[in-house]
Amino acid sequence: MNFVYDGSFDGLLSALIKAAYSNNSTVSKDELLIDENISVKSDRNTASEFEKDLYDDLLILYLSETERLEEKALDYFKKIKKNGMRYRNNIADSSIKSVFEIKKRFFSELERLNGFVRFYEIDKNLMFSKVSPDSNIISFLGRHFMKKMKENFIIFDEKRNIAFFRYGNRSIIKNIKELKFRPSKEEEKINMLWKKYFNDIAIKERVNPKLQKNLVPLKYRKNMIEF
Amino acid sequence: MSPVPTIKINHMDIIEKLEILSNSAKYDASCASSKSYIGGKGLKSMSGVCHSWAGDGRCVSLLKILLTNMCEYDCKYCINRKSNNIKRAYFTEDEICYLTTEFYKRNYIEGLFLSSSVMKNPDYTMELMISAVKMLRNKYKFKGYIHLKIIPSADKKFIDEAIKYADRVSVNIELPDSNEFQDICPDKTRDGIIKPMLYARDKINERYEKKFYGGQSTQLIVGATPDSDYSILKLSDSLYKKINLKRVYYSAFINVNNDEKLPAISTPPLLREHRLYQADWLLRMYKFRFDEILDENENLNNAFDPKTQWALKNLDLFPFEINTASFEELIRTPGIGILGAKKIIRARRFSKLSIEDLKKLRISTKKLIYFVTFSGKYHGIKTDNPERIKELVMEYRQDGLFDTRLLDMTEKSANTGEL
Repeated sequence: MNFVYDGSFDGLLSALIKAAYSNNSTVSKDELLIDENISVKSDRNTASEFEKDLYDDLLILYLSETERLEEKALDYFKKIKKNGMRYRNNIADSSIKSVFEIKKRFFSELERLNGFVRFYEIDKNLMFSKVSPDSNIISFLGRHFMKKMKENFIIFDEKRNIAFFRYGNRSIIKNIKELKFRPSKEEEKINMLWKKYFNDIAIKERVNPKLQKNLVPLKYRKNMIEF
Repeated sequence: MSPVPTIKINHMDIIEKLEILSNSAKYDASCASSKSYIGGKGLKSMSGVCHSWAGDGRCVSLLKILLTNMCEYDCKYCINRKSNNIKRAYFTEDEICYLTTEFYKRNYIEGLFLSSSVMKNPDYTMELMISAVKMLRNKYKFKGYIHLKIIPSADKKFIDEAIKYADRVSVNIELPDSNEFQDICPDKTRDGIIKPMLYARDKINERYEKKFYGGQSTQLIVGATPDSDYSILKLSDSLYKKINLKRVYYSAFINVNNDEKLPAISTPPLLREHRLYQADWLLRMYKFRFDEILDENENLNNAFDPKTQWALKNLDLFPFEINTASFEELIRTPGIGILGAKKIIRARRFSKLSIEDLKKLRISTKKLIYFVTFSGKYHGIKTDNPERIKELVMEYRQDGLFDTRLLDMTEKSANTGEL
């Protein structure tokens, strides 16, 4: 049997519970051709049936948008259900290890982008940034910058067409097709100062482009003005 | 939201000043805002973020500048020494605040690293530096990270203020060797460096008791004086133990002045710097004693990392059994870092580990097979001859890690320290 969910995280959790109780079941977003498809209603209350750590693991897996994430989530969920929460530590088990590594990738991308995000000023006290991360990390990024910055800001994920808006203590994530803003007058001057600084600080006796490439992968550079 | 003060900045001026005063500051290695707990003034746990990496592969996390490069002193190794004919400039406090806050709100940087040449005298310079960071904190409400250099021989009252406004302060020792010191730095005294460090230590301790946090670090130049790695590590060890430093930074000597009093080298000793960072991690994170790592006047080995060098000298302690060895034993095994040891301990709770399991955990087994058994099974070569094992590890090195990749890793492992 294949349990079809609506693509939401609550939907995924609901489908996992259904699938875990019957043998040889699968979970997917779309109906499968050669299988019996049962569509699962997304239930907001399902979340309470998951222990916190397990819930967090599955959420990261969902946000990572990894290929075949439903299959990985189901494997993981079944293993934990059978062996207990302690089993989350058994990284010699391939289902556990694969989630472990997805989590690691997710958080290392987040840590990178906490540094790599570049804002520009669109108005006094309003900053804007564009990102296109591999994982759906915008809510984590938004929270990070709410702690760090006093300015209001918008972070636009151009890959997923969603944006994080911050105004004072409030924030919201919205679907949005396109976001474009003209930088403020000050912007060009600051950009120039930054680029100048960035080029000047490299010590020529130590130049090492290969190392630099490992540390700042090319895919992130298009939104970083110094490259 | 506090109103941001408006100031007039002359754009052409500031570009030129930034060029001069960042070029003068870039040789200072202590730039990484480390992952230590900083709270109090800056945002805790916000430190340690790298915002970019420069062309030389060094992490850019702070705006690293000098207040001025106008210097009264004539230290032989320093690009800013009095006798050098270079462009000189100074930043006003407004300019420092402007650059720091504008860069910070665009997320270019995590904070400010402010150092200076000695203009007029140490106290005069310190007063200007303090005034700039004070303005940054009070007028601009800046919450980011601040690392402030303390000028040797500065008055105590400036050290008090420095610790109040900065997350990290440092006095650079620069030269490990006290015999050569006066020859190379005719205007500084050894006392002028050590006394502020001791005073800052006591002040920081007092603040810890009141639940404020801060820290102190220093920099040593490697390769400008004839010191052995043993004496450098010994110095670092006593700095960690006696002055509670958070970090000692090692900076490969770059021959910028071609001074006859200093070694005429054409390339900086980067591999040596790398080995010292590795050994420093052994001191701080792996709980090695400095005299375990090296014997008197010994140097770190170019061919092996310091842990492998130690293990080869102590083969009688090995092999450890991977399924029963303690955490302390595991991290002393070549090829197993702190993360690796944690992974092994987590995984072996569920079943006995074989060599294949370690590969699954993504732990390289090439080097460690000579130092461990798996449920009693030894995968290395059975020999009582340490020279043979040395050769084997050496072979691994030659087709494995050495050369450019090792040099590539210089900065990375200075940051992560995994061995």
